[in-house]
Amino acid sequence: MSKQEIYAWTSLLSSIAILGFYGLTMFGLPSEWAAIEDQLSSVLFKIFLFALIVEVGIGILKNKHEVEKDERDEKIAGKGFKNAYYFLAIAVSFVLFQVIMDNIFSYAPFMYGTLSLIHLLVVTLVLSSVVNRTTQIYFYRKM
Amino acid sequence: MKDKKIANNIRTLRFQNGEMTQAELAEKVGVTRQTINALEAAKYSPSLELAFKIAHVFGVGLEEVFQYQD
Repeated sequence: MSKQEIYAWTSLLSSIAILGFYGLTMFGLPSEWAAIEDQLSSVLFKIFLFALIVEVGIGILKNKHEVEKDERDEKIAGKGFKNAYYFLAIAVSFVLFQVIMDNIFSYAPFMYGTLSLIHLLVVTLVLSSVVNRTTQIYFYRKM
Repeated sequence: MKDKKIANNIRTLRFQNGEMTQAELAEKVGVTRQTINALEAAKYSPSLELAFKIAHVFGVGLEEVFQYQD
């Protein structure tokens, strides 16, 4: 496994952890699942910490003779960014559609209010990172 | 990248050149060992620059390393 692939894995893990932590902090679970919520927060924090330690560790343990990134890594990164961009463009268009529907046609939108839109945009941003890294991992496994 | 139209003799040429390892070849042409592995498995088609570098390392022509298959 190349360094760039390991970075893709650690970034995917940390994005999922951030997304989960954000969801738990902002929305939480039903009150009867309070115990699970604490455990889940702890697991997500450990995943994030693990990803961070691995990333820092790889950064420190540099091999002078080994190439960090080559043309194949750049090609795969390009595919990841392309898919993430498509996802982001569709998601932002969806958000704009909600705002237009609300303001022009007085149609009750799916997400209502500024705070909901902010939540949606934050989640979209993190999900686009997940799409990026998942695409990269797929192509690292495929090629 | 997605098809296997470009075949190669990298593995054979490595062994004919003092059993050169993938890591050694990777270092000489400035890529990762994983890229050489992907090239040998015909999972990845290299750029023209990388193809020339590989041929140069073995001291042969480009068509002795890579072959385009219809």
